[in-house]
Amino acid sequence: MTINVTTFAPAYVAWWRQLQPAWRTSVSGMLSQDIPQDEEWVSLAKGGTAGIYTVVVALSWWIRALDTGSDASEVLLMVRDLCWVLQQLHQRLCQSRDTTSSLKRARSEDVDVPSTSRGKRYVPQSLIYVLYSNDL
Amino acid sequence: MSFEQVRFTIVQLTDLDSETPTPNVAPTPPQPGGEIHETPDGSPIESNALATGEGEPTPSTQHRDSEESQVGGNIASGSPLEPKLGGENVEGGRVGATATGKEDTNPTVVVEVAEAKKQEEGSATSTSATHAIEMEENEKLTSDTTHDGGPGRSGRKDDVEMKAIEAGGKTDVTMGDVALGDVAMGDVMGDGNDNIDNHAVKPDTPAVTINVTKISDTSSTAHTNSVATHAATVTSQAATISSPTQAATAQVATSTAHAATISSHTATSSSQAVYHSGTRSSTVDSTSIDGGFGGLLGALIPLGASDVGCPQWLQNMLEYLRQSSTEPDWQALIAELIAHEKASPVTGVSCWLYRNSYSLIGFARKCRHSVVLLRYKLGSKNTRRTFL
Repeated sequence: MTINVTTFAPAYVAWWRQLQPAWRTSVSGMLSQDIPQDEEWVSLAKGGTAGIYTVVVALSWWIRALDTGSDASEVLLMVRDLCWVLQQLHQRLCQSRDTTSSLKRARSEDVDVPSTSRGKRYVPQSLIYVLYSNDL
Repeated sequence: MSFEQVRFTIVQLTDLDSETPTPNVAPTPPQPGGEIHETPDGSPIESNALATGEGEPTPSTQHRDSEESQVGGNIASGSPLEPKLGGENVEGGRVGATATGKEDTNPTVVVEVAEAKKQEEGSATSTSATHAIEMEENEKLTSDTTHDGGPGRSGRKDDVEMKAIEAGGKTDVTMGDVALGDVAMGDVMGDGNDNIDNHAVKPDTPAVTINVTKISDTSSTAHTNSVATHAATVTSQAATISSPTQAATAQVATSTAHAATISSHTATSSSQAVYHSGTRSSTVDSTSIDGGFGGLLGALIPLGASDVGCPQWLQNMLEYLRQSSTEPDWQALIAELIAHEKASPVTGVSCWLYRNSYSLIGFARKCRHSVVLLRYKLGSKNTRRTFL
């Protein structure tokens, strides 16, 4: 696989910018690192072989295509930015897990009667008829 | 003819054939545990005596002239034939086989003779024969041990390896003797500074020699720019080297030296290096430090991002990703990727399903509603209940 850095680098940067949330892009072209309060990282918080991993692999191709004496400042900035994004994703993921686990813990403590899945199955038939009659 | 007459005749025949040194009877396999057999006159005979030509006769005659060596071979090799020649009493089997010399048509007579008249003589004969066979077997075992490193091993492979070593004109193999070509590979950087000085290793046995040589090859071929090894403990599956004289010590002097330890148990070499990336300080397992992008000289393994628990698909790619560059920022990026994937984030497909879940649910509800409506209009009053 032969990669032409002169064409690959701008394409990669454009792709990376397109993946970013709107708040990251600024007029100056720099990617912002001021995270809003309610940021969920929906567009980047993806795991697996179709997730952020593909961005890392593509960046490794860029790095491997560099010659020994070539300028690596641009790719170095990209590496640092991607590393920062990964840190934020991981931090966000851990926070969401802590929140979920705390909610589950609180729910299990609040419920006096042990909830069973059996109780969810029994839905009054009359209620279903009412719902469907309203739909029709 | 009465029984007593027969016995008397036997005794006379014994006197006439007193020159016969050993009874001519095919040995009956004695029962393990030394069972007691009775002679016609009621005197007990131990089963051990059967092997020496005494005791209970066999009804069939056997030609045993050519079986003497075969019996000894069976005993020595532990073949399944061994129990037939004495079972647990191996010595009895040997002696009985040795005592057989010619065909006998009346084994009863011979056994009676041996039991009544030739007990002491037979014992002496059997004892001498036993010693002779045992000496032969001991020689075999000794030779097996000498050539194979232990009884029961084929030894051909070791013999070949021994000849291969001796063909080089040396019996004491040093680490550099065999791996000269591989040692040249130590100059990975091309700067000529990779001076590998392998001290001699003098193993005691050829098997150990071979193992040391192989391990030294591996340690020499490792792409190590700077390796400083102090008393590497060499172990292998075939032989364990524990004595101080067998410890393999290798020293590699280079310019940008970081501490490294050769782990020869897995026949790999790795070196430890420490790098700093801004506020981050990590220790990496390195085989080369080139300090720039484009370096493909070794794999860096950031600590703190253990591969344990990492998805298998990422583990297969980690080496490729780490070898892309030795830049600390890049290694930190790989570490973050590992940490991210270990946290089991939702995959891209599941994200798509999550984002489109409401539309999918709406579509499913519309389909269900259409079907219910259609069946309702067709006239089935129980449509809703059965469908639901």
